[in-house]
Amino acid sequence: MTTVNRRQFTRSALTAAAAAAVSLQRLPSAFAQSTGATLTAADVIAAIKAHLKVEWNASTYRDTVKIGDPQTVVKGIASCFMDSFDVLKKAHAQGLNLVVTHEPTFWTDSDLIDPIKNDPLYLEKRRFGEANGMVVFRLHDHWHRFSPEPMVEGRESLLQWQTDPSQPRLYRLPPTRLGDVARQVAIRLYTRSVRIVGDPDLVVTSVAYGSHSLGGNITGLERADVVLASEVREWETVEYVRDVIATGAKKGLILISHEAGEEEGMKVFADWMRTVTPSLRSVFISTDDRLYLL
Amino acid sequence: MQVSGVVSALKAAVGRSWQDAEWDGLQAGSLDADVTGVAVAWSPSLEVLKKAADAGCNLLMTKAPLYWWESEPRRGTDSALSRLLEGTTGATPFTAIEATPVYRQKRNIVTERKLNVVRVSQNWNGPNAVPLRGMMDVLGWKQQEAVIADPVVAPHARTAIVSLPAMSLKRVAQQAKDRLGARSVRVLGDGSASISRIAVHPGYLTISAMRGILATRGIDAVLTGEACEWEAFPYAEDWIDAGRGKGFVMLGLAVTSDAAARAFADVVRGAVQPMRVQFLGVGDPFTAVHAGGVRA
Repeated sequence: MTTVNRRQFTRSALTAAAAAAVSLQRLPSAFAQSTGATLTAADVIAAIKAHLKVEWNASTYRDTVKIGDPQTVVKGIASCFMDSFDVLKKAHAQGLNLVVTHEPTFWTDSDLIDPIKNDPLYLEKRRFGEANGMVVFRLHDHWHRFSPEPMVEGRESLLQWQTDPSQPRLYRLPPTRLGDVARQVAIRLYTRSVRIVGDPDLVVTSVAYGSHSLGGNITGLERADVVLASEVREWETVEYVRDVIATGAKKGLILISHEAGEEEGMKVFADWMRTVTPSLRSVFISTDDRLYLL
Repeated sequence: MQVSGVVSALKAAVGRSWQDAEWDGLQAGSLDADVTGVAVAWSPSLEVLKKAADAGCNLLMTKAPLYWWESEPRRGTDSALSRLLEGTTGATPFTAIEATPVYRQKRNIVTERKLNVVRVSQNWNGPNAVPLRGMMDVLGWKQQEAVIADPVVAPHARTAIVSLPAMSLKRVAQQAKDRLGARSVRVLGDGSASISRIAVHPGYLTISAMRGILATRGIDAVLTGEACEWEAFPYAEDWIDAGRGKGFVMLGLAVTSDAAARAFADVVRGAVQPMRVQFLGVGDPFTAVHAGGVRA
């Protein structure tokens, strides 16, 4: 069993970055030449694909350009968990015109345009991007497949919990009240919208990171006292955990926002991009979990 | 009256808007069982099953699935068109559910207490937008109009447009929280923003319903139960960022659905009188954690 702390995480990220920088030298000559001059969004996206070292799914509907012309010359790169209107404005204000977002731009998983083509908010958001020479590219599935998995690495670097390499996403804690574990999560993951299911005074010693799906959280509860998860449906996982607790099982669920669970992984991306296209500024912009609780 | 008779009576009460669905109907028990009493709840939780049996009600009518599992995709939404189900969180094989101790315990209670469970999710709106009526009864706000937010997927559902004396977003959310008995309410938007016209949407809010609601001009804030954080919720973020709206409030699926279930029990009661019909609330499952912050 080993503890992965922030310093070790940073070292692992930098090792990956160094490897990426080396492989940059092996890119096709056309791209290599362009690194010294201007890079288009298409060039940068090609570099991302080349450096990810994962087989690119050519039929992906997620990881595609959502706004703008790929031939646009890139002035700087902004990475974010989700390119909310607020994030687009912040990127533009900083002169960053290629936005790499992990989550959708237009409010469905595949950014389906037909149902919203006349929606005034869609038109306004799209016009803002286009009028300001911005390009939005989504990087979801392939970033999750990068090794080490950046969302997990990022989250673990913030949580600073003891990890067990033989049991991924399982964390051992000294005996701690469920409510205190949840408070720790809120502080370390920069979120104000944490909710728990279960007795806040229950003393727990293990946490499993679950998933959006019920199946992932069933497994998580089998492995640990507590499941930490984001973006679950309340009629599935929440009702399941309610029933598990009603059987007398000493279990709990800590629910965080989707953003809090994954955002740090896009900060990892910003660091990584500085090695992929060193001539370009690469800045992480927080989507911010703006939800708060009453 | 048998279970089948109760279902038929409810079908007659709902009338032309009744919709059959493969995932609805008998979940446990028998349609031929004689009914001793009817319990109505949003979710057939373990506690609800026990309470129904303790109350002498051997028929439980619910909206949510008995074993936390949607057997059939929700069809016709924007998300379905976009290859994924609305708000989907990934498929779970039923074999994984069947293997859990809590599944076995729940199934045993149903069997041992001779309970019959009928799911009525597709007809939860009843003859006249029952969930909204239930929620507005509890909230005590008077609706100015009721709009159809999602005519394709939920033509019988309604969203209330409410005019209020100007008050802060935080106060509107607090009022809703207190009246619904919620323990954790999630708010997006400046809590001090002045709100005077809101939309109230019970249950789960789809992206198509969100857009449908906001086709009504002049809405300051939308209050609902639950929304997907890559669909209706980020739409609300952008709506607020664009200066078009001020607030978005998620009250919790359970508490808004409890209010709906209370009103649905009235529909069932009217359909099967003089049979005893009892509403059972499941309550807010959450405890709010008041801690944390945003990035510097």
